Amino acid sequence: MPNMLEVRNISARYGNVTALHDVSLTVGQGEIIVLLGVNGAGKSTTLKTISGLLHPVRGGITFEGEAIDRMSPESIVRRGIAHVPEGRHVFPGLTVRENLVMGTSNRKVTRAETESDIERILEIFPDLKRLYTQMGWSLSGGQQQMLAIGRGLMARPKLLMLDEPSLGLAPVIIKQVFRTIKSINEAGMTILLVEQNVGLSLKIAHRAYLLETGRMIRTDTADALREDDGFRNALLGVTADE
Amino acid sequence: MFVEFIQLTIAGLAVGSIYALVALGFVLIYTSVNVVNFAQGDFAMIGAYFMVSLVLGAHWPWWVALPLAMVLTGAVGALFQLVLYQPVRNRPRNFLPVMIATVGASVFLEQVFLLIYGPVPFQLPGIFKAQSVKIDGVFVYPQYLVIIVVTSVMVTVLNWFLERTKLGKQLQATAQDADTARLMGIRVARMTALIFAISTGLGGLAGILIAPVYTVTAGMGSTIALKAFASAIVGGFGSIKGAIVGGLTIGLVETYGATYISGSYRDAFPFIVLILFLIFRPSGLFGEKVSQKV
Ligand SMILES: Nc1ncnc2c1ncn2[C@@H]1O[C@H](COP(=O)(O)OP(=O)(O)OP(=O)(O)O)[C@@H](O)[C@H]1O
Ligand SMILES: [Mg+2]
Repeated sequence: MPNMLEVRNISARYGNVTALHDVSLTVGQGEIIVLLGVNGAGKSTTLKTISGLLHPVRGGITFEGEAIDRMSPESIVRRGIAHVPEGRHVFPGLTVRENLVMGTSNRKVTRAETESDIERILEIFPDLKRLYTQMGWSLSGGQQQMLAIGRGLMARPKLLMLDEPSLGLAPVIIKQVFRTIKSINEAGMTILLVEQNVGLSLKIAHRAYLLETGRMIRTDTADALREDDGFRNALLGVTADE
Repeated sequence: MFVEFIQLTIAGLAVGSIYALVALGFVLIYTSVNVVNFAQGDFAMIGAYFMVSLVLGAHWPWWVALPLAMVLTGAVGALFQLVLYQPVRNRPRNFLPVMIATVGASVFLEQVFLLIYGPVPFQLPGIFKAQSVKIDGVFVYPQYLVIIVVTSVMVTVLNWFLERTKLGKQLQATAQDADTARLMGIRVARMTALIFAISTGLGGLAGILIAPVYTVTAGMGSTIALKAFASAIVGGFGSIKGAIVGGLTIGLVETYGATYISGSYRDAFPFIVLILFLIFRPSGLFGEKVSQKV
């Protein structure tokens, strides 16, 4: 598989604090890649650096062969990377519909295109239908997550990056979210997933990366990592006492 | 008595409309970028001077000059934010430096326009030639009606733009969560420029409309700005509705107070209202709106 996204030896920092040291990862067309790590490991920082909210101080990022590490988020989403941020960040004062429409801001769309894209999203997330005219702030956590993913898909991305979509959701809803992610991938979407739910994400992912205090310490296929009890316990041990 | 009351009400609504237009600018900028633009009133002055040049200088008809002067003022406002706001846009805690810079810019703009146009006030003709018209026994200054009508139309258009167009929603999205807006592909720098252009354009319109009632001087914006600022606070400093209701309240209080209580304290009444609000209802009439902003 040709690599769609290549992150090569990047370092990133917030002011004087270096959050990523020499991090590399690749995402191939059609894959689900999961990026694992405990709180503060640098998972969100990695996604922010890819989507352009942050620029690496060292290293480079290419998407479909083009260097994107100096570009603004506005330009990067136009090239086909949608970043659904941690904590969903639904626009609180806009309706569900308006939130979805905002997702199309990365390109010129006709009204008909917007409508048919919204239809498509509502097929994936039928629950959003009855919330259509409700304000973003009035939605539950799970509903907001569906909306945030739906809004990301409205960009018609080639690569969808999801930051902890299961955060703060009830177990049944988490299962539903993971099923949806899997089915979106099976429909052809390449996905870079950040998660702390090791069990479920290793079930749907093809490959996984493990971050620890800003360094990439392990990468393997999901199958291999699933069999590796040491790996699972190391992460589960930490995530279990949260 | 009753006739006088009607006349005062019309005058109060007209002056209040002017405050509302400037207050709208305060509120739009504040809710979008969390900065109070203390030079907001000076854009009323700039709009009025553009009108002076176009009408008295170039002898253009008012219906061409008015929209043009407004657009030109908005363009100055876009330039203004490019210099004052954009350079520090991504810096944390930039609010205070930017606000202080707008105070400096206010002084600067007034000096520049004083230099260009000189200290002698200009008198712009009203849009209608008649000094007053009589409607049902009530004498009305036609410029007051122009102010009320034009303001109503502009507010309706603004509301339609913000609530019914995709661009309007993108402006709102940017105000609510700028980073997420960028992730959607919304060009935040452009949105900020547009908000400043709209806000200062509305301020310019206020100056254009009030110019025939007062005179055009470099300092005309400061008084308007103070009362518009009071209006914005009375309205809750967070919503369009608040800015308008606040503006009209201040305009009416000032006009009634000047006639029924004391003319020499005309300028004091708005501030009495302001102080009462700050003591008894500091969140303003529609204050809860502010909390909806993230
Ligand atoms: N805006 C910021 N300013 C300063 N430091 C930050 C900022 N955001 C994150 N950091 C620091 O960078 C490091 C990595 O944070 P990051 O948010 O990437 O972790 P994470 O793996 O996503 O954690 P979590 O699972 O809690 O979301 C942490 O040490 C954190 O304190
Ligand atoms: Mg995170």
